[in-house]
Amino acid sequence: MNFKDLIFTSMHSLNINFGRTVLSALGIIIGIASVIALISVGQGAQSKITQNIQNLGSNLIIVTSGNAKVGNVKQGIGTANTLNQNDVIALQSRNNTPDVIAVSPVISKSGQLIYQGQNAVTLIEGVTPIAQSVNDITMAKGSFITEPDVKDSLPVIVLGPTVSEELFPNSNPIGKLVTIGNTFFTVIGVTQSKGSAGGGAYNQDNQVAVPISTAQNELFGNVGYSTIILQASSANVMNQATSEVENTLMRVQGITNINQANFNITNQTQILTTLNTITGTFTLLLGGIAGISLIVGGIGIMNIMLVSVTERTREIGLRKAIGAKNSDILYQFLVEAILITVIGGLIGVIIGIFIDYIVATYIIKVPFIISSLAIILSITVSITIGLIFGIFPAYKASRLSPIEALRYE
Amino acid sequence: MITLKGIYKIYGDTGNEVIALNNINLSIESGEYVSIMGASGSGKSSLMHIMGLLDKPTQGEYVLDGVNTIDIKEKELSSVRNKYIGFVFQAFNLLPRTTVIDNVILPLVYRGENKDIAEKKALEILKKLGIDKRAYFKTNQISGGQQQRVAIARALAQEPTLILADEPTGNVDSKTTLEIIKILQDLNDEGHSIVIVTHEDDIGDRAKRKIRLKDGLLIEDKIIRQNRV
Repeated sequence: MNFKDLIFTSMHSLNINFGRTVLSALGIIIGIASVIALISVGQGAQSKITQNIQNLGSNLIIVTSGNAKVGNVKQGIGTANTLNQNDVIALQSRNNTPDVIAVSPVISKSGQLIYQGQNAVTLIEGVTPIAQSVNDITMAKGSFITEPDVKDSLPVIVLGPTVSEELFPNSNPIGKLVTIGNTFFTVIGVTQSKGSAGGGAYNQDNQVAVPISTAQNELFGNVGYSTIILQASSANVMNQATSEVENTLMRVQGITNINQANFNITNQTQILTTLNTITGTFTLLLGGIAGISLIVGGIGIMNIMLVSVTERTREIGLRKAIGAKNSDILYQFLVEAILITVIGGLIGVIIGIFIDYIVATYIIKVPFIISSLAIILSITVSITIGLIFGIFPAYKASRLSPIEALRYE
Repeated sequence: MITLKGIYKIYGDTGNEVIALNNINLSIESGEYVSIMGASGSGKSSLMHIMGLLDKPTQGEYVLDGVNTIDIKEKELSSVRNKYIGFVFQAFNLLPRTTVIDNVILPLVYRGENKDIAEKKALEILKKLGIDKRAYFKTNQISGGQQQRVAIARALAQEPTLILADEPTGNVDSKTTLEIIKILQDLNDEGHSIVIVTHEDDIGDRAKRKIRLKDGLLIEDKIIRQNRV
């Protein structure tokens, strides 16, 4: 029997038992669809996270102040505001940090903004004008914090788009007065949206900026900085710049061992690598769990093929009596199994892409990415499953004795 | 054409043996019409299986068309069957939910023949048997008698040395039985060699030579006057 006739024969047999064919393909369809959907959604989430980190600005090194102690218990990183103006001045010196081009000190705390009975709980950041370039901020309306604002500790405020929308849903906020605690702030600008992380913990659109001096004098008391954000001159010098920052801070604070330091240095590359590793692991984990369903689907196919062999014993006997070789029978059943998995796999891919589209676009709002790797992999896996789980029933069929098979009732 | 020499078929383990065929010697010439008769358990099915190359004897020699079949490997038997033996079974054994024509060309497909040529050939045979109008019907849409004619057509398509019919009228009514017998008789008149296995005397009498088995022994082998339809 030639290949064309073989395919035709197998297709015909599958078509005769259409209902059973669909049922046995179902396991593969579900398995492939979930693998594709989960891996693709995972990759979408990963690219979204990467994009969010990159939106913070480029080539950033972040120095976080150390932990506050309550009794003898260390609190979370950044709770002590141990960084101060001396650190900033030392870091600004080109002699200390030749690969750093900008230093942006930040004091941040969450607080409540009130405008005419509307209120918004948000992150309040005291910043200097350089934060605009370091954090890659573009203005939608008005202007950012300026040097004179900082110098004179003016009560001005720049709103993130989310906050602006909450407090001023239908009006232009520029020039309006909002209250934080007992202090009135004039809104001088609204920043452009950077896109939210889809309910993530850190939303760059849901925050406000005030002059750093105003934050110290009017809001939080004369405390140190919570963070100093530095920008390296290029991506290539990130590690070098990071160690320059570390050495400078250790010298300023008079310590010789980094373990004694009351600050923490991390850079964007490290954060990205870490986050990508985490999301990559999760994607793999989810894909792996979905992969198990593929194996279960394969076992389902084997079951149904075995039943099919028993049910078609007479047919096999007849085929052998009139000239089918063992190999003809073997290939026929094997091709049937592979056709089920390939067709099931293709349907699974289409359903998986559809689920990916729905979940990515409407539910968790991450970029819709079709993972071509996942598709190629799943098709290969489904053919392999067809082969592996089809071979035993096919072998069993091919070994049937024609007499026994013809006698079978 | 067919020579069986000292054929034994023994089933079961030592000590528990059942001798199904006991030293059968038989030869059938081309163009003969032979009926093999016997009660159930007489060994006629075992003999048919051996003659049809579906099974091998425990001992003995079987020469088919000058070929000693004992040496043929299990693997190659399918091709030999395809070339020499056309089967007609009691239960028709057609592929269900498949068209008549696809059933008829099945042995030719396994032979690797071109499908168009095979179909043309099949249509001619179906026409000869008077069922060409049913060629594209599914086998479950036609009557029992028609199904058996399709099975005969399938055997003829192979152009076999021997048509081996195992109780071919066992599943059809008496009117259809006559039709089937008539077809076999016509085929034999055209020169086809036919061996029919049956337990019914009136069917056996339709042949030209009658062989009777009892308990694995060949007890009767005689030329008879054919009771023609």
